[in-house]
Amino acid sequence: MEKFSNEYFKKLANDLKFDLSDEEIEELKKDFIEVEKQVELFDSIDTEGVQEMVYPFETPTYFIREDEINEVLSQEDALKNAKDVRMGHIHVPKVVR
Amino acid sequence: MEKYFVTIGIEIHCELKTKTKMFSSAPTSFGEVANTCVNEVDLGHPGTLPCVNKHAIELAIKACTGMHCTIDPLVRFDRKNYYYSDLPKGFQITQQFFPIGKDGYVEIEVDGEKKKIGIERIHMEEDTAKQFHKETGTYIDFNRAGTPLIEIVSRPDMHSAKEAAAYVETLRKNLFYLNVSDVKMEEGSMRCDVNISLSPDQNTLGTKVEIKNLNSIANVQKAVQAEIERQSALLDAGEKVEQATRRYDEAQKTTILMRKKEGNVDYKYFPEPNIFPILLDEEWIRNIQDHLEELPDARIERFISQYGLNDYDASVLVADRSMADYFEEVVKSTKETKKAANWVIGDMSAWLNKNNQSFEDLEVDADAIASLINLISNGEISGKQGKAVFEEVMLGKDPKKVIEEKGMKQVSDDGAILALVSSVLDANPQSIEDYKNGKDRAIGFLVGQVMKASKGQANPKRTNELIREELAKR
Repeated sequence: MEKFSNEYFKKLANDLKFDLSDEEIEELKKDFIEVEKQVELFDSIDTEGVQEMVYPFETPTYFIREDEINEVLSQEDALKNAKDVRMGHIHVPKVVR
Repeated sequence: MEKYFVTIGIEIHCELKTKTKMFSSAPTSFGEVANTCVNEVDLGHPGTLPCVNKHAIELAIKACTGMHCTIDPLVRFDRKNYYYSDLPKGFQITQQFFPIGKDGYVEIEVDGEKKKIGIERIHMEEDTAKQFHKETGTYIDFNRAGTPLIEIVSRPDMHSAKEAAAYVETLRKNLFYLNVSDVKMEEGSMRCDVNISLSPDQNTLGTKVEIKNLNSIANVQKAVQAEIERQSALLDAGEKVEQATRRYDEAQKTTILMRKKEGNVDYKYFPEPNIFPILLDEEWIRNIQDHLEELPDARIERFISQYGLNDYDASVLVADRSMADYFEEVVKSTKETKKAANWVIGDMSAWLNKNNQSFEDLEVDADAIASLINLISNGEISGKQGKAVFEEVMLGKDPKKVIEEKGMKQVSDDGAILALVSSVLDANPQSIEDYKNGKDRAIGFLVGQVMKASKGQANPKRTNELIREELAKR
């Protein structure tokens, strides 16, 4: 199977729960091929014996937050972004049987 | 009796007793109005950054120390990625690669035998939102999202339902005594998942089945027993046990399939880039460990040695921390430690039960109970009077005042008792006759008559002695 086939994009889109038209797939295909070329460039760097680095600084921090209540949203603000609010709860389609 | 070799491992999630969330300064809560204890961090808004709660680390260190774990002073967090509506960020922050504690144990006791159960690891993480599945859809309350948790993972060291229940009970008591969590299984602040497998021989492991959401210690034991029986029956019939997640159904007394295991989910764990590794101050850690609360087993030992209690009474007291605390308050003001234990375990517990109260919310001054115990042992009131006074003390009255008001004071004054004894003896010549003829029972009758004449206030012991003295003279 071709790496970036139409089926591949349709499956990805379906997993992320949205639809893609054939035109959109063609556009994405170009992007994906280009991005992959860029990523392949990393392979040209020799990382033999180099330790992975997660953080930009080598030294650990010492700061920890005290257990004091500080920032709390009102219910109104907390629910502002939700599309469907019922009885103070965010309401979403059921995902269990 | 079991035909198969049973192997059990247990994972326990436990909410930590903090004021705020693991990574945000919003309050932790239980039973609050939905979505009122959250902020942008808990809701996973873009651009927010997690900030680790110091007290949560402190409580995790206490739990680790209580379970004899080695503590990693470099605190690191990782992301566990999965997509579900109870997890607003799309990942849970946990400690996958470097748990704060590892390689510990707890000691359990089953049928009088002690046994160590290994703890593989204890790590910190955040709780998810609470979901309510209704007909129309799912209702989400984010109040619980971000609540600090520790997950305690045992080694597969348990081999029976009793051991599993004893392990959970021991952990529950220890965490409660350490003030790490309020460990209410029925409210979900302590949750328990049991992994169980059966095998025909000790050297191979059978297929693992996980039982989720056990909400009481009794149910842990029942569920494990039911699952052992279910798997035994399958193996007896030559069938295979399927790898799956099940739940215990109390009504049917069996486990029910929730979902089959469809391969291993890949959570794509990686170090949490938004939280730098935190190096804890060794001094701070040592200070927490040096000031650890007394654990239940140590307290039982101390009750036996310090107060001269027997093993049974000490265990009963310690099983309820509030009761044990109350007992210790009482014995601050009385030397009668065994009697104090009897009152607390016996009459007080019965009274609280009857009135639907517990030692935790008891307002009766421990001093008053101590004073009551002293009044009885000094002979100022009789044991029987003591019971009546106790009823009033439990309503908040001072025992000395009750005695005064009711005119209960036990009469120990020889002159006063003697006068009553003489008149009772004068009125009962037949009893004197009976006594002289060897009927010792007559004494009991005479004591009763004196007690009646004194309206119960005569000291029974002294009355008995005086009657015998008087009878000898006649």
